[in-house]
Amino acid sequence: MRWMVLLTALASVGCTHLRSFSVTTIPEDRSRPVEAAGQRIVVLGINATNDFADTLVADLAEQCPDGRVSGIITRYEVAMVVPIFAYAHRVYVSGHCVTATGVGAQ
Amino acid sequence: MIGLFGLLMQVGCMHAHHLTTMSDIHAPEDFSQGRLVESEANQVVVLGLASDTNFVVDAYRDLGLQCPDGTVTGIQSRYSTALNFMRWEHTVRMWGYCFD
Amino acid sequence: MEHSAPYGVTMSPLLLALSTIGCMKMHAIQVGEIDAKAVENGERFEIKLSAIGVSTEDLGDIAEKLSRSRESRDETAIVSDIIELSQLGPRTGEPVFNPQFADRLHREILTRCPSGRVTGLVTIRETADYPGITGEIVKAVGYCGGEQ
Repeated sequence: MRWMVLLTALASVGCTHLRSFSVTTIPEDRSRPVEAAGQRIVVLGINATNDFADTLVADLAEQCPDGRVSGIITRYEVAMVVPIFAYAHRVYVSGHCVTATGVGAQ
Repeated sequence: MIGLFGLLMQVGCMHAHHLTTMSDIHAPEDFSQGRLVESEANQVVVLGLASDTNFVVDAYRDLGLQCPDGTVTGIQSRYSTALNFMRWEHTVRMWGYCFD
Repeated sequence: MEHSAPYGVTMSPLLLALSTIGCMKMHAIQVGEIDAKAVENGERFEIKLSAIGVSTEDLGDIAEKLSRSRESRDETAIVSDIIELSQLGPRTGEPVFNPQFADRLHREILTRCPSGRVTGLVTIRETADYPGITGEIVKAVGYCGGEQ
């Protein structure tokens, strides 16, 4: 019982680890931030697909229909959901929507 | 034993270098006109407990803040971890070239 | 038994030679934007920055095997475990003494390409594995001469 309480307490604090990230050029115009995220819970290490990351570009484009998304930071993290048994694989993408006539457009 | 553990907490000279990446390089003018800007963010993790990884976004935002009216390009990023006894410290360091 | 002796003679130098070659592992790769004309006509450059990584676990195993007595083997195992415990944390490849070994990458790229017109930039984080030590490598390959 004590171990269950301890494990639950640990899980509530979180064991989150940054696996990788990448960045692009930061534009001058940063007035319109946009962001998207995807997640997949992997149980017992069995993961059939990573398609949760496939929709991120479309999600960002939807938020910036009249411009170009620039200044993008992409990060991939793994967080513990249930100790040992389940981990959440998350990808966060955020950037700035720069319109074609904007100052920061390239 | 407490003294030994205390000593071990201070020992730590090894680092894990996870990745170094370069962004695209799109200078709006002659590259010699750019000025180097840099930023760093850290996260101390004790016993593996960490709630988020927002420190990397902080480093990216801080880099942009040093060039508020310009473009930052050619951004190199380094992600490393200082290993230690029961705790470690993540570091993200970024360098870029600001064109005002 | 009679066959093992000739194999023992011929395999040892081969294993020794193979152990000097090392084993390459890739950890991360990033590919940047590509200007096809610049790739075709531009100047390719390659930069490799590295540091020696130390596998304390492997070195501990080697030290244990080289120990002459059981007592010294046990002591070596304890010291090795203490050193491992003092270096906890997530790892990519093996730990290095100086994590800043690749910090000058952006300067090296600009030295190769002062105009800053770099295209097709690929950055790779890899490890060359040898017994007990590793080469922790950051490699960048690109082409100089893209459009602004």
